[in-house]
Amino acid sequence: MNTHSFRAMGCEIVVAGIEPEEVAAVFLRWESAFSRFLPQSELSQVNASPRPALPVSPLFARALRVAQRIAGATGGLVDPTLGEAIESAGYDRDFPLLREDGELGPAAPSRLGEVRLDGLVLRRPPGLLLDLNGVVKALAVDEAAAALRRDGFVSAGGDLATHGPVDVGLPGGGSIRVLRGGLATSGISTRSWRRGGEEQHHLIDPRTGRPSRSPWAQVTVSGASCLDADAAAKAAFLLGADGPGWLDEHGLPGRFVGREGKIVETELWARDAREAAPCT
Amino acid sequence: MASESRIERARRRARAAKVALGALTTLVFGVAFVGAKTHAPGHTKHRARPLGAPVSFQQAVRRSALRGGQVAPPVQPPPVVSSSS
Repeated sequence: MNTHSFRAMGCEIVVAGIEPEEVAAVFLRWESAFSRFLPQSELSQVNASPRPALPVSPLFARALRVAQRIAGATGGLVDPTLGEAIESAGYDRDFPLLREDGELGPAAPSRLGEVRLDGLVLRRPPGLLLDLNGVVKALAVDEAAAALRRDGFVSAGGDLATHGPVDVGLPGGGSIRVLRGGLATSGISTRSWRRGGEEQHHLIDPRTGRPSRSPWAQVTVSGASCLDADAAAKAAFLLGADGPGWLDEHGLPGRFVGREGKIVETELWARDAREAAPCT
Repeated sequence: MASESRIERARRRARAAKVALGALTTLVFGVAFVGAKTHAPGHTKHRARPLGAPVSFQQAVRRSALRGGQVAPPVQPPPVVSSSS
């Protein structure tokens, strides 16, 4: 399988079975609308607006609706209203530009109930900072993968959607064959920094408004789409010790790597990763 | 003669009233019978269909749930690695 790679959304994009320019255009469209660090992005302009109600683009409305749906499906764990919390934790500029250390801002728990979308009109208290990056990268992957016309895949930093089977390397070693749908990994191995003398990362617990103190380093989940896999991986990470049980309850195969390197697999993952798939 | 004639007329009116009352009772019974057969589940001759949620509700529930993918043992070296980004 011939692969091509390029950088977008702060990570490496790897594609096969599709022209990289086609995928790049999709990522550029999503990134230019939802980057927290581009002042001209729609997200930045919405967050900066002093108006309590303002019109948004169809793309913005679609992403916010998806984010609200994902928040519901994860019991509020994957939350689009944690923009202030992540800035308080220190992630207020492109990752390579983050300062070494500094003051930790105040905790900023979920404000999910204060956001309303009526058609293309967004209503929320001014000052509430939305962060839709919990769903935007996966949406871009799924949109690009939908254009696959032959066997191949689209991967953004290892979060991927596939058309046809593809083998994928896993954190902590080993690999898995994704037969259909998506695979995503969430964790703190790549993006962590220090603030207030403590390690911080981008996976905010909406209950505390602070980076989660989960025992996991990385959680990988197989979903029907990259979006489902990514949302479930984030939720399972934030649930800590309850994560594997939650994935099993929802019928989602998952694999956890602990901070000490211990690997835990859910029942579904353990079964499927060892059984050859039936011929179809 | 005149009083007999009044009695006869009264009997005729009574007979007509009985017929009208009987017809009305039959009509009301018929309507209620057909209505019960049609609308009350316990009276219908057709097999009761299982209760089902509306399609729109089922779609909404399906959309709001996360669905699992399918994985299997690997068969070749992976061209890509999944890691947090």
